[in-house]
Amino acid sequence: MAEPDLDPDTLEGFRRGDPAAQRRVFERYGDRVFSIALHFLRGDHAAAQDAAQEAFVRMFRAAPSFRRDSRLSTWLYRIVANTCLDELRRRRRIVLFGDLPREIHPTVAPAVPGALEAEVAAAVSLLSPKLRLAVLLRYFDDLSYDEMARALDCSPGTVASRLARAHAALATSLAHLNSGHPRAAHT
Amino acid sequence: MERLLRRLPVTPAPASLWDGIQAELHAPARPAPLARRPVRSPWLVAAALLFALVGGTAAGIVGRYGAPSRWTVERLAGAPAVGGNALAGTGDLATGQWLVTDSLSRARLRVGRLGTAEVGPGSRVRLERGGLTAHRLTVERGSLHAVIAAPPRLFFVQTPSALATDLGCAYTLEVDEAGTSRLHVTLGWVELRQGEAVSLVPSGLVAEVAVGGRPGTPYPVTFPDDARAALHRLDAGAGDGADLDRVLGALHAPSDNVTLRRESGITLWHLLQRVSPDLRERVYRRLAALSPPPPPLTRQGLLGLDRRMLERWRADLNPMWSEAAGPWWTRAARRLWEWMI
Repeated sequence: MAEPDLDPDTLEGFRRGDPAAQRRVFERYGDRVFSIALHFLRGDHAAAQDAAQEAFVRMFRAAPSFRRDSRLSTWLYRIVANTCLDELRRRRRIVLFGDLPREIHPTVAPAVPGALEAEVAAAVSLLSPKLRLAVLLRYFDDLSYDEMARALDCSPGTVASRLARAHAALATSLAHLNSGHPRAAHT
Repeated sequence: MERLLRRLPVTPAPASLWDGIQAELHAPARPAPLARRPVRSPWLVAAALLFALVGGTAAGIVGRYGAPSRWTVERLAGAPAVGGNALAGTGDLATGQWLVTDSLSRARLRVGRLGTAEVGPGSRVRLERGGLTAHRLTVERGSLHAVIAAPPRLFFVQTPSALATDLGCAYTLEVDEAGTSRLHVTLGWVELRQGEAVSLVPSGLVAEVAVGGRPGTPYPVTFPDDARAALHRLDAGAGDGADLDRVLGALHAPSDNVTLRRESGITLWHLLQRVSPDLRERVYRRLAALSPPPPPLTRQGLLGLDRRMLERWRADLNPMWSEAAGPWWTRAARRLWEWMI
């Protein structure tokens, strides 16, 4: 399957474990992977870095088994999703009672009170993990439902359902933007 | 909503992320974590449970049926003697001691928790050392009437001519001066053994065995004297067709009720294996008339004294008469039981 933004030589080098190819893959997806992890882990910068690092390391180590019948990004996001969920499970084992403190990353927290992006990010962080992952994959890399289904190991119907539920929840939590915020007209 | 979500900020990955990935990728291989093993192997747990089950069962059995080293003996009549001392009322018979009754004396032994054994006049009985649960007596002469309510193979009586093993029953065992034993079973059944030769004697039947001989064919207690003598000759391999006629004539007819037919059946079943080959066909026909051999038993196999077929036929006559014909697990349980006791 064709891989946008990655030439065949890079893909082949990636499969062989070539550091230069690995670097190009990281440059292509690093920011998105880190951002997904950051939003998923509610702005915990250190945890997001660990999760992103773990996801890339897993991917590079498993590169020889990568088959070209799927997109590298789909494969990578599947690893990212699993890594994030693993991290969440690990945290739940550590924090037996109550939720983790919500450390809001500067991009998530309303650095400037009322900033639209920060409010959206905060609303996303309140979604359940599965809905959160669906939203992040959908809107960070514009994956199709089929690609999301492969990344999340579920059916496209389930993806559609999760996105619909996420939209409904976000519409409620961001309803105030409709009434007062000037950018709410975009909703 | 979609436009709002597309405004989610993309945060640049920190520069240290790539360094961390490289460091992790090129780090020396970590020692493989110890394989996660269950703390306890399922087999170990199963073995422990089995051990606990067997051990608990054995402990329960020993607690319930443990053989005491001293048995209570009670005078019933006359002046029985224990260890050479006259017994007045109640006393103990210790392992190795003799209980002796004269022609007017009788005594009753308490066989642990299994039941009682009444010792008749003119008897010499000794308490033997048994196993954990084996209750053993020797009857040198005289008579003993045992009533046992316990699992099989806990009570054994040795005579000069045979070993009587209780299989859950009541019986009378008489031993004459020559050491010949006569066993009359009144309830349940008893195994009479001399070496490898065995007679299984069910309720209502009698079996005899002389010193040095093998346990005779069990016969109904109502057997006339001439038929009994003929049976002894057949058992000894000295009988002829006329002896067989007498025995068959004394047995219950196939038209009699099922209990009587079964009594005759067990006599014929033993006899089939003891008569000469030229008489065996007649015994087979009579037994087959009482209880046709079930499939897949064959006439040829039974006349050839195929052991498995014979056991299967005996089980068909009455399941209580056969242990060997049971399923494998009953045989295994029996062996385990015998090993434990």
